[in-house]
Amino acid sequence: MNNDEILKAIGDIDRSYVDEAKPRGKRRFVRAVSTAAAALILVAGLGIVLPKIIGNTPDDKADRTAYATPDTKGADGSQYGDAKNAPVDPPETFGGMKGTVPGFSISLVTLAEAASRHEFIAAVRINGKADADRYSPVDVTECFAGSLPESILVRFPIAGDVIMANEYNRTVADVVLERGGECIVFLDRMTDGTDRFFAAEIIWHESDGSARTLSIRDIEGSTYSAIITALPGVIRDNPYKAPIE
Amino acid sequence: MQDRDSEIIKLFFERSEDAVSRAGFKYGSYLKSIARRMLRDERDVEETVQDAFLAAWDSIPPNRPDDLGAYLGRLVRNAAIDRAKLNSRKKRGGGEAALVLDEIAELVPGGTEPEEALAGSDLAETINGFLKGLPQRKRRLFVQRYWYFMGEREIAEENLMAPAAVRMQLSRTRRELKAYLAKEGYVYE
Repeated sequence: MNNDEILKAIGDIDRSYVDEAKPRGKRRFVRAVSTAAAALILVAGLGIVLPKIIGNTPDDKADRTAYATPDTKGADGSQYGDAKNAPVDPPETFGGMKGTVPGFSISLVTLAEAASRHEFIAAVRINGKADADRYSPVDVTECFAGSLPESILVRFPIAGDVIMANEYNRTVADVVLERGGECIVFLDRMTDGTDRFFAAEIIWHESDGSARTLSIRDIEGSTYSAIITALPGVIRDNPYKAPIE
Repeated sequence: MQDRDSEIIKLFFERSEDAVSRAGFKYGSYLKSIARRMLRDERDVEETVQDAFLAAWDSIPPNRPDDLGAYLGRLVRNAAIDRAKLNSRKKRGGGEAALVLDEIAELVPGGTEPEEALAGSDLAETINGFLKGLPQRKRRLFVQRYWYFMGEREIAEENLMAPAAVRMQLSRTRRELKAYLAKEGYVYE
């Protein structure tokens, strides 16, 4: 068997797989500019429900944002984060385009809530924007089990690390991908060098108004801008200095 | 108005040369777009598409494809692989196909061929089995790279991913396919 035999055999694969992967320029455009930007361009372009969109901007709800605090205890009893900063409001949903165009919205949850609602949580680091072109901007670096058994509990990445694509933690990511983690913990490196992190459920809204929570499998590898533009302004603008060891 | 596939196939069966010209009118651009992904030289693209039509002329009948577009697409794809390989030997630009051939070479052991190696159609069935077990997103990336011969950057844009993430996913999928083929008796680890 040689390589062109394999390639030719791939040419004979089931037609449904070929159709499934068919490049779709229009969908790509919609997805590429999805999130808030897409809502603004498409909906404002039609001149229909702009006020509604403006009313749904992240800043509008900034004061009520539920920061996820790293209040999850490790298996060894160590405590991540500061419980005093635990949010008092219920999770809020931001930036969604329900019933208009497809797009992301983010529902913030605490780590404790995430742990109780999801079997697996993946922690990801959002690298600096400058890294986005060179490295995988959203890398699954660690994962947490909802019940935090010792065998799976892992720690947050150490501050100062820059997780690059070629240092991708495949073992952990494979666990997350296999089991379909649904909630992710972002660790964001601020320009002043501090890190902050928060938990979020990523929800994908279809144009028919239906929505589903994206799994890590869906979100893995998404571009920095696709994720970060979906985040509420308060998350971007108000760093939470996480006590990362 | 374009011909229906059944009418074109009927012309092939009647050995009418209109079959090729009508198929060319309907599918020419599509076939060239496939060939262009794999070959850099426009002359190679033209010749590859002509090779595909010739292969269609030689194979219909007896074959009666359900989906003429897919059938011609497969022929032009295979013709382009052969041409890319030839170009590679001649040190001419092989386009994306040459890169893909290198990537696929990872799956192939040097030297010995497994005695259990099955016929090409069975290999396709085995690959179908592998693809069936993949998550949809991962499968799409694989097919876009190795069926459509899309470049990593193009795949990244299509799927809202970073090129590095695409490369990583494809690398992982190739490893999984290699293991799968080995399990099925195709490749020695």
